[in-house]
Amino acid sequence: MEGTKARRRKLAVNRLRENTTLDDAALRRFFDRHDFPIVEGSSCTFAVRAEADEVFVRHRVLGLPENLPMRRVEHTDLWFAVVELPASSRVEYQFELRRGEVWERFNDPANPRIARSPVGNSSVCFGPGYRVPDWAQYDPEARPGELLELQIRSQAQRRDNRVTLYLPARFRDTARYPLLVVHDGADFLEYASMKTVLDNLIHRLDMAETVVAFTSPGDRLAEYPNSGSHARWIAHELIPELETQFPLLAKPSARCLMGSSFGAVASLSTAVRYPQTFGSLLLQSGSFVFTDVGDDHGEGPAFDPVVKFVNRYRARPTRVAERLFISCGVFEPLIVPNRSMLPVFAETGMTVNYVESRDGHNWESWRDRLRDGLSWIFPGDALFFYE
Amino acid sequence: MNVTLLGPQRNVAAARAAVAELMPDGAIATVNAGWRERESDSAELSDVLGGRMRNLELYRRWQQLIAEDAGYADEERTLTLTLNELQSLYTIRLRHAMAALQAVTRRRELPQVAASARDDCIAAIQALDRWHLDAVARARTEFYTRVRLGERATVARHRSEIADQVAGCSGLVVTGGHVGVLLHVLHVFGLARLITEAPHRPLITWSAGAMALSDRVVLFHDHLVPPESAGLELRPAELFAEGLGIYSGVLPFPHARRRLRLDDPDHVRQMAQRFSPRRCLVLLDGVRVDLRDDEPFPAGARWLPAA
Repeated sequence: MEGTKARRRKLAVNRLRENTTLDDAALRRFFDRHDFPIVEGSSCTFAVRAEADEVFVRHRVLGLPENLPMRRVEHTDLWFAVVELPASSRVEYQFELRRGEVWERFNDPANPRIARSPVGNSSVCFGPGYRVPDWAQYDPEARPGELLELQIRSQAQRRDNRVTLYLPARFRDTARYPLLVVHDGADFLEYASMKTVLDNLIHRLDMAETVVAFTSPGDRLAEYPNSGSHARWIAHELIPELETQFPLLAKPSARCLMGSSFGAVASLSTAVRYPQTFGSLLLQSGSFVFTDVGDDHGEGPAFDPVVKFVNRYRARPTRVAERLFISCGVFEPLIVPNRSMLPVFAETGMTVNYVESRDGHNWESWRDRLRDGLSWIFPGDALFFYE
Repeated sequence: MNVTLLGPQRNVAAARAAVAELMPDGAIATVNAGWRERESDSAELSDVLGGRMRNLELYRRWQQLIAEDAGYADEERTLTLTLNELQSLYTIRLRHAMAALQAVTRRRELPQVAASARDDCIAAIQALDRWHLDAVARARTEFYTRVRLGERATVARHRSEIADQVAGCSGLVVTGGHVGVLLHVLHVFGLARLITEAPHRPLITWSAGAMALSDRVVLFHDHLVPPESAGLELRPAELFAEGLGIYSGVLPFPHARRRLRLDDPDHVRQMAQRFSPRRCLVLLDGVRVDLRDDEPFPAGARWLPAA
């Protein structure tokens, strides 16, 4: 009964518009009374006060108009837009306004939720039913692992590479651990809370005690799309060095290479160059752009080597690892190439576990899929524990 | 052997009552090794045992053994790698066998035909379970042959200390935790012999302890993600190893309500069929089941129904 009432109830912004006196005080009350964006069932109302000629919601949600125009409530400085979002969606956005010839982009001043990334912050809309996973938040019960800073010489890349190494809580020299190598490691630590996630997943027995090497690129756009020197650094320098220095299981099934976006391309291309070195790959929102005919891929020149690599792989797919965990957000344009890669991977005999989320191409989306991926690749001892 | 099995000890009342009844006086030898590094974090357990706990510290001893005896540690590592690989191979095969059972169970066209196919699927899974148990037993036997535990001075010293401690106690308690670690250290330090040599010494065990003391150890958790995306709805239960064999014919399923889809009659029935002739004992929180030699199973015990 209550649900029926809720469905029939007008949206908050429409109730506001029915007010006869829409003065500054009424608008202030409107913002004071609600969390923004206002989520009412599947409807999300974005709203902002601004003196402007036009205001847009800027987002990267595939399927919605790229620049979502906001409507002005007559005789006020209130702009709004209502969109329908499916359950468990998560959308990063900003507002952009135009005053004459001047454009200005900014986060939603009424929304305290901010997503951080290497290219700046943006506001976040939690659609109906979305919750930040509890395993992605600090848990005082979870015993913390340790982060070590290493400098490892790469002959292939002619430089010293910084590697941040995660050792799980209760690390022992007498044990033997699987190894996870992470591309864009510093960003995964900074923007995807990956240390917290590892601490929690290991504590909760969702994931095996694992040593994790967080690597960072030099020139990312040059190194990540199918670079021989990068692959050599990972497979022939980093892995042997770590397996010499630390008690690792040192076998393919206990090695996983992961990355997101271009980092996923780096993971796959490294595995193609050094097949069966890694038993598993964890590929998030891989930039697997390809063409079926011609070379007009519609992306910038940074994608040229990616397209060349992916086209070649699609023409002659090979079994580079035993298991692939692949995730992608349905709101990102890369959902199409990722879905298209699934049968290509599967036909090689690799076991593919594919997960989609109602999210975009961003760090928190990748964070939110870490449990699915890591607990599948290196499962913890939950099956063995009976209190 | 007389054994008292208890359900999970989230509420410790059952353990407290069983200890008061079966071990009213004297020290109580305690195996808490399933908790690994937290073996000695046992204040609550000690309270349940009336402050009479004698922690045998099997996990600490095992870690000490590994740290002090490099040859033994190498053999342990080899064993672990072998057992892990065996479990992985078994799991791959089991996944497909279970997928076949699931697909056959879903077909309702000609029930009498489907029933025969279903029974044969279960027989195939039982054969696979036997293969795995045999392979694991062989790997363990080879390990024990290589390391000659009884001839190693360090092991002999630990075993002797443990035997002395147990001899001075009025009963033995084996708690829960990691069933794999627990079973292994029970083997390494020869607890089976200590237990069977004094069959009248009261023995209370729960959760992982109850599983390890049975003659087979079955790992189960329906709600965990299946190991591969083979279209399986539930994670199949896995045979892990032969247990210590202190009692037989009964497979305990602690945390059954949390870990098993008890509301799925096909699933429950197939699980009971798969593990027959052993009976699957549902060990819920607070439950107590006394297994006594030459006595029928207790009337109040709850079993997974085979039909």
